[in-house]
Amino acid sequence: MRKVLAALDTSPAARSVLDAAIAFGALTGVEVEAVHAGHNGDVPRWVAAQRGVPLRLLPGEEQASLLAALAEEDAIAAVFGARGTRGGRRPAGHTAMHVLEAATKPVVVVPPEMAPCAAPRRVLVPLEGDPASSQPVLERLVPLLAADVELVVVHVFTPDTMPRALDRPVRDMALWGEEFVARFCPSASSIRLRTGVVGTQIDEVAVEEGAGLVVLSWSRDMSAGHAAVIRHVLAESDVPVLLLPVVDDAPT
Amino acid sequence: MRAFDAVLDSTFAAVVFDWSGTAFAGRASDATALRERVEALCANGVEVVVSGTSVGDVDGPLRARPRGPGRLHLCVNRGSEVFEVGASGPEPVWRREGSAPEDVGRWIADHLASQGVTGSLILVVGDGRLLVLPELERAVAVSVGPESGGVPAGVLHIGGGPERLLQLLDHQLARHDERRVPWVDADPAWVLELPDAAEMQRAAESIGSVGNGWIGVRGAREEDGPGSNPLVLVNGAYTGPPAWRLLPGPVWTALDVTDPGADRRFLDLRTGVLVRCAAAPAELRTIRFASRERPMLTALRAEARVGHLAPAPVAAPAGMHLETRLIGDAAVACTSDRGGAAIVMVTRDRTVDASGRRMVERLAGWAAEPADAAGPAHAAAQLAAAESLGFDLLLREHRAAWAARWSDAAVTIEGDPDSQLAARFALFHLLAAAPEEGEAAVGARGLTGSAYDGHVFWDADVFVLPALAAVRPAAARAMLEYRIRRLPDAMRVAVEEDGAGARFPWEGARDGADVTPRSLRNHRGQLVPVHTGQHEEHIVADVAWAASEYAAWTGDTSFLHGPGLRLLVETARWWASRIRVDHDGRGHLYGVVGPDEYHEIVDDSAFTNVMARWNLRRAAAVVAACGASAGVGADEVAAWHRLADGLVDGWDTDRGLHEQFTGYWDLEPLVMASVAPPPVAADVVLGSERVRASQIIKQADVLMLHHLVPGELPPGSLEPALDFYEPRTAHGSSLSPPIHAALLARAGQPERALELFRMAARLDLDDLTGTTAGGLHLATLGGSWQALAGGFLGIRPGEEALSIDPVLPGEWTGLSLRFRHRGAAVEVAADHEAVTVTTDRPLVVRVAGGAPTPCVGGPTTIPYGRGAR
Repeated sequence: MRKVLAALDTSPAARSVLDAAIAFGALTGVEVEAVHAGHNGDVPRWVAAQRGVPLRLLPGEEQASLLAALAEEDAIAAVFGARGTRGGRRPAGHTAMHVLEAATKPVVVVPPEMAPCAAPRRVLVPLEGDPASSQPVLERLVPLLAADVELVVVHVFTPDTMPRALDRPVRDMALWGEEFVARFCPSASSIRLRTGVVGTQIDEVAVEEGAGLVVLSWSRDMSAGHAAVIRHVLAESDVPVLLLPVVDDAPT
Repeated sequence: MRAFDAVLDSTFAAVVFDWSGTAFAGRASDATALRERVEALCANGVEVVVSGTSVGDVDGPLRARPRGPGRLHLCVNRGSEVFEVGASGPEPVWRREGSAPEDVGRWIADHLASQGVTGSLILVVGDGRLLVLPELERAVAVSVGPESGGVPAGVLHIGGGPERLLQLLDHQLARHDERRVPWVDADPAWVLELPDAAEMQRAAESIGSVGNGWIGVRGAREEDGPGSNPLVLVNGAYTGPPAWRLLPGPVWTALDVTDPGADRRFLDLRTGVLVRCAAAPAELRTIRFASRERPMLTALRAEARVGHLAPAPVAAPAGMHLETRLIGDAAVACTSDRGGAAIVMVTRDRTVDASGRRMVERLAGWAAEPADAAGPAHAAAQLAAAESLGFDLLLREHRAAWAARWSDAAVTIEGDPDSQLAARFALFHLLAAAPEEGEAAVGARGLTGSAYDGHVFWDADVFVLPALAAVRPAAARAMLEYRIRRLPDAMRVAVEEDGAGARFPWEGARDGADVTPRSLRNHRGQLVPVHTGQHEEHIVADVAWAASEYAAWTGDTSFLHGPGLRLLVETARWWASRIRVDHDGRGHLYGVVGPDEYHEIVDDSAFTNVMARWNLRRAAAVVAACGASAGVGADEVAAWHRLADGLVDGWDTDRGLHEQFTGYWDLEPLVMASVAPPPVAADVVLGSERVRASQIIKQADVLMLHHLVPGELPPGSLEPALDFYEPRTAHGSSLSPPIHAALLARAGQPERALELFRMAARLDLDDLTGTTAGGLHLATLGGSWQALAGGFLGIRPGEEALSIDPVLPGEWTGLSLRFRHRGAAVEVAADHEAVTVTTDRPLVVRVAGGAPTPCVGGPTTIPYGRGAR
């Protein structure tokens, strides 16, 4: 049985995390298991009971035990709450960030004040326009999704991807977008093309499109000078963010 | 023996062999078996050439009397004479005039090349000089003789004498019987390998399209597969109303291919075929073509190891319903539209299993309604006629038909094989874009993709037509016929818009109505108005210019004084009704869109006004030439002259420049160096409002005038215009680079011109725009030819003389083009010091502005530049 882990802590965000995990489970058709690493399990226990989800208490050091649980063969992803301050170097919470950087499986980061949500029917996938960024989406996300989930691609032009010529702009832009989708995410139903600051544009399109989940692939490097878009979206997004790590080998 | 395996694995289109020793052992021998093979090969369309001592020596014992279509030639008397052997025996067809012994090699090579047969399509079997003729150096050379003196380099020695030759010929006949897949001459100067990167899949399908002007077939793999976009389009077969778009036809190339493995695909530009191969386990090979000789016929043959290949039903195009039924054992498939358009195909598969291989052959006859109301019956007749010939002979005539087209369209760029291949690619698809009779609706992407729904823009008139007027006048004439047949509609529209004359549509389809969308949803989902349909009215003058340009290249006065005159007169009348004269007597055109679509709806666009002025003057000149028969009164002509003379053109005497439109000088003086490196869609970089408020322009606009109507502009104004407008040009239109390449060459900047020429010629090959998946940019391909002809060679057609003024980049050691000029077949070959003109009839040329030089037959070399000093 495949499952998604909802990493519950003792904060008020635990309920949002579990709701988001349940929504992600519905999106991907897998079971949800709540986990808690720590001594004080009252809040997680109460939240899990409220939702009728089994809770497993993880022994040992918090981050290591969460990573070990995620490494289990039947765990396909984990859901964490983001407790970091907006705009900081570590926009998600300390535990979440540690797991994010170490995990080779998908991790969903849930914004702190997120309202209860149903399973998202529309997923926003920002793509850079190269196989490296689209491959995790194609190989690790798309196979998980239920058939009726709508994938919306957003691409924010960079100097490398800026169209060289648009003979008839509206039509050529549509053609350009169709080809972009065909190349990098054929299962997407539509594409939105933008110019500007990438993170900002992703947030805007997520709101415009009513997306219930934003999916980003990333190289697991949150050091200075890297992952600016990831940082921005984790700090600003109003909806859960699914991070798909770029890995060379099978996930561990 | 791998080389010999390669010989056995080829179907040759020509076999050349020595008589004595190779084919015939001596007087005591019997040539009956050889005679049977030779006649059978000719019956299969193979050209056979025998080299011998004398006619009697060869024909006496051989006594072959082939009935064609392949021909038997005897090269005898030490290569000084050639006889063609028909049903009634040998007849002389060529005699060497000089003493050069290599002439016979050239004759053989030229004769075969005229059939589209070159290089590795030729098998040479001999034991002596024949094997090392330099003219046949890329042929497959096999020696069956003893070769006691050593085997020449590049020759495969298998020995065995005449018996081995018979075995080779038997093997060739077996390949024909088993319907094995023939191949192409792997000449890197003519064969283009399609990109195999996954992200280039759909672009590769556009690049690998094959067409004959009437039908176009994208180069999708036979088994289709994820991401593929197989598509068949027929010229002029539009759906509608209300949505006017080219109707996709039945996907006739569908086959069941199992586990083909990695493959390679090659487009042979010389013979217009697309081939595909994959190694074990499938050992798949396919070949397809749209018959150049029979427009309504397509052909496909495939072979693979048994278990990897099977016929598949003809497939429906994406999102379309396909009607299918049987007529006898022939399958009929049809796509249709409620508006009355229909594409019908009739096909019959033939399958052969032999030697562990399965061969599948599919010929398809086509018809399109409403132009062809006979529908299935006509398509079936096309198929029946094709089947009576068979695949091999259809391929033979197809190759020959392409060879005939290239004989008037050849392009050679010495020192730059990549540009040469790109230029040939451009010409190939231009020649495949327009039918050569009836009317030709040449859409922006031709028949290679569905972008722009096949709508006809000025791309056809201004970019594609000049190239075809020079290299295939019949196709250019068919393009004009498309406009002529819609003249009544254009005249009706003019009246509806409170004008006179003819108002041609910015986007055309089946009838003469404008099918430009009035609004479209942009990439942000917002509904945005599209102004081009109502305001980009320079199309009216573009149509007139195309008619005039066709006449200039062809000298077709019956056209110019007939239907061409009507086009010129009615377009002039449109402008006469559109020009508003102010209190100072100056004429204006308000509210137009010029080629630079970053600045829409402007007043007094220099391009539009000067083209209108040219239109008025040109119409007046042709009316004067026709005299009273033109049916246009002197008062009206005088009014045209007055309007033309009074029409403002944006010329700024102080600056020595044309202002692109009224108010352009006042815009933010941005240049591209401060925005982004061109080519780039500046409207995306800056936003459409910001770019509209700046001097950044999309493409050649004022400069386009220097390309189209330089005679309307002040002498010496090109260089200042280039200096000013080029830095402001984003080349955000695919139409822009080739025109700038042509003008930079004219301005004496060939190195910069070469950069832009390469950008243009490779635009689709490199998918520079990211939109080649939707079809090839035909205007860019046409513009690329114009850059070679009008730019680097400085060719201008003319009634009194053909002007030539070469400016070659240093990297090119030579450039030559073949084309037709006023009925003459002309080749202009230039290096950095001289021009050589070869023509089949008297022609006067003027090189680098020098004195007129008569050229009569043969090559005439005229020094220029450094070579003239």
